[in-house]
Amino acid sequence: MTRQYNIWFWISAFITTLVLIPIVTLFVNIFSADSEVWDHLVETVLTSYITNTLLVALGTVLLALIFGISTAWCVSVFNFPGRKFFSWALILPLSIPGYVAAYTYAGIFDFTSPVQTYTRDLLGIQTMNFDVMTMENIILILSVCLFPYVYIICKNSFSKQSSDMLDAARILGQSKLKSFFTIALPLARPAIVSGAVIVIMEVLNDYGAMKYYGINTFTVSICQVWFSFNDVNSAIKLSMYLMLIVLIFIVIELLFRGRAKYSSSNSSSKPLERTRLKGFQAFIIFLICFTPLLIGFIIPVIQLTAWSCQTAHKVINKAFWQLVQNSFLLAIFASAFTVLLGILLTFSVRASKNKLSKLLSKVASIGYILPGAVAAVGVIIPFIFIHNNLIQLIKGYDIMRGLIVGSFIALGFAYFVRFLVLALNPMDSTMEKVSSNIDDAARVLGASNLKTFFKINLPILKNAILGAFILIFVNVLKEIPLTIILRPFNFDTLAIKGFELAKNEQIAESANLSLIIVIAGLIPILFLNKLMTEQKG
Amino acid sequence: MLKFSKLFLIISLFSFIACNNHSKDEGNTEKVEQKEVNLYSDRHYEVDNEIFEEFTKETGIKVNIIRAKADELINRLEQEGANSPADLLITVDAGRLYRAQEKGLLQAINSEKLNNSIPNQFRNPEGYWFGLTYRARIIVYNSQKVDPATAPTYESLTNPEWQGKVLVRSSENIYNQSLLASMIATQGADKAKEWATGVVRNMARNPKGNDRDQMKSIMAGVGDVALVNSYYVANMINSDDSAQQAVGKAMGVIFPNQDDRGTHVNISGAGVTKSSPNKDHAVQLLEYLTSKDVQEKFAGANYEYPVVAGVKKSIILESWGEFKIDTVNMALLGKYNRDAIMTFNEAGWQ
Repeated sequence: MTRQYNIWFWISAFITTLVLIPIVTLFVNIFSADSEVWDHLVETVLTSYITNTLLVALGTVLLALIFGISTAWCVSVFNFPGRKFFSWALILPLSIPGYVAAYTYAGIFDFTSPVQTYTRDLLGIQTMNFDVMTMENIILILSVCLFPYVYIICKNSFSKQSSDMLDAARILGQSKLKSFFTIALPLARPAIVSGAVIVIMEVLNDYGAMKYYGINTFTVSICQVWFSFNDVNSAIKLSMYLMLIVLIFIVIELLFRGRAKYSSSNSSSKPLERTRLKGFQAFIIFLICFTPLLIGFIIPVIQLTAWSCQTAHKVINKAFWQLVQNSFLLAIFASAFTVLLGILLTFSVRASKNKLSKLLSKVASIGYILPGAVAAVGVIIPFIFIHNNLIQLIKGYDIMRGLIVGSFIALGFAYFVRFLVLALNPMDSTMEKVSSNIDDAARVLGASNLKTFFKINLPILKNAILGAFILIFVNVLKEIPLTIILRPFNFDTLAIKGFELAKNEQIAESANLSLIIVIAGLIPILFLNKLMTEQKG
Repeated sequence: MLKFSKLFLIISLFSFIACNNHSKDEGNTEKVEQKEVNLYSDRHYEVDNEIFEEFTKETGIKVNIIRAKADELINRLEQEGANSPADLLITVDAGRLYRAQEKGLLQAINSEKLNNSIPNQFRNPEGYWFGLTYRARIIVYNSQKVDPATAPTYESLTNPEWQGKVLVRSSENIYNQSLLASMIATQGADKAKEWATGVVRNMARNPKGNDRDQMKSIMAGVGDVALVNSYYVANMINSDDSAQQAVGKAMGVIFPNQDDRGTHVNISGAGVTKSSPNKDHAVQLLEYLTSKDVQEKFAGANYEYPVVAGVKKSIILESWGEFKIDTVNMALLGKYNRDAIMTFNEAGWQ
């Protein structure tokens, strides 16, 4: 790659700048002086919070990797009863927000739950102390909710691997399992890492689940500093440190990856061929895929449904359907907008052939690490700056109204900043597999950059784009902190309303809304799955 | 492949149209002159919406709401400054109103109606904010294990007899913070820290869960007494779920410290913002919310206590009877909030 500053470079630079505006706005705060709150935290609770954060983050990412990679591998290389079903169903746990899963599991096993009531009756005892709300359990719950991030990206990566290398390994006498560890896994490294990074960011961003289970993490202390100590600057500073740590991890990974290339240059390679499994082996593989789906989706959905049946008469009314409509429209437009800019960025980075723009696009993905509430501040400040300064210039208030905080533009922009990484990661890891020789060939044959994009890159990226759209759609549906503070007047979403009910300790009532989020997440997953299988056939 | 490119184009087109369409909508609503009042509210109760609808019917003033945590709303108000569309800030804690007032985000309102209907202790003397309802931080106990005669006060929760038996949620909870702030205000920082440390020593487990979970844990035998908000007990007793009802009904209820300073209460209240574009409407809404018949519904639906004297309380609250209220100045809950959190951190109350 040579350094070029062509139009594509400037496009990628522009998109990156958009994302960086709120981050830079916040970053300025890092240079403010340490307040006494900061000293107080260091003296009292910070050490234990950091330990907790590391334990939960590492535990969750490890489990999520195990679930995600194993299921992706099973679905990619084996043929077993239920394979087709699992290949899309394993995405489903994503539609359940972490805090909903945490509340639900607490509800399934708490004192008033049917499980405990029944067990007590059976054993003929009055009291029974069975505590679900522990760190081990929150790790398990979060990992089954988050493993689809790893699964989607890995499955996509496995499907792009050629069978030649695996065949070679098999001919040289390696078992299927061994060739998985020596060939397939290392080849999928960029995919695995980007999946893991998303999981870590999600864990670091979780507030509701952790707080409810009484586990104090770094994010909890960020919120404490802001909300309780009323020290926005220190809170921003803390989250900037958090962001730096993740950034360092990403850079280290890139350095370690170094010059290794993950693209297969052999254009005639055939895709992986699936081995048909029967009997006991098929059963084991079935269990590997079924377990995370059971814990991460089936059980919580059954409980949510039971609660909804109890309380539907109180919750389902006209306002409820308005919420459904709001949430859907918001999620569709926000994800389309983000995915479009993501495609543009991915493509312009590639077309610019400039290392700097590649680095910038990596930096652009850190918007995801900001705790939602803090990211909102980063969006509010520049928007209010624009509003307050331009309103004096242009008296046409009608035009300006679209640009103020509490407009859909501000909200859409915030989603873009936060979720861009979800669009970039799958596209990047797909693109890395595709040798840039293909682009060059197209260019040599006289195709313009734009034509290359539509004819060559877009079809290759198809699955990654669909995946990104689903991920962002589902995430916007369940997003809370940004939406809550940036939304227009009288605008509620399912997630917000559900969260309010849960906060009000009306968990059973909030189940109705969570259930719709889950169902709403199902529809695009089913639809896109159909689209994808149709095109294969 | 063609199909996919088409889909891609359609979606692009869609989002473009949507953006355009949207700005048109904004323009239209702006041109229609409508009487309105804009709320930034931290109250999440269903009944609020019903009452606002009735208010609109009676007055023709449309009520627009954004709901979020008080701190987020205060931050937004601060950022928006003079251009903020908000008229009224509604919180569920006096401390946050005090904070907004300290930051210069509220304005003083002199309304005879409000001053006459709301008792002094529930409102700011200069009219920066007004209490609308109040709730008590009470102690519940396992009525099968604990003799009501030996029932604890806030202070005696730290006695050795309650070792390993006290259940309470985390110190992040505003109601715990305000309780400790009231102690700092009346008894001094040292006494308050001693108390927090004592409670931590007697905790049955690390704080987790919400107020309802503390009551469930009493039934599960994890501990014997818990600090909870009054309305959660009432909500459980009235739950649709028979198992929850059973837990609520099994709770013994104590309004602590009746022999000395009284039981700690906190208000849900509101203040008119400094930049309020519809100040008159905001005051009108406040007066409406503190009128006698509205108070009954406003407080009753969530089993809160009405601030206006002579308003009928919900049946459960009636059955618990009258109690002596700690009359510490509500503003002090805000003033000592910061100290309270630091004390919690130092005492190891997670």
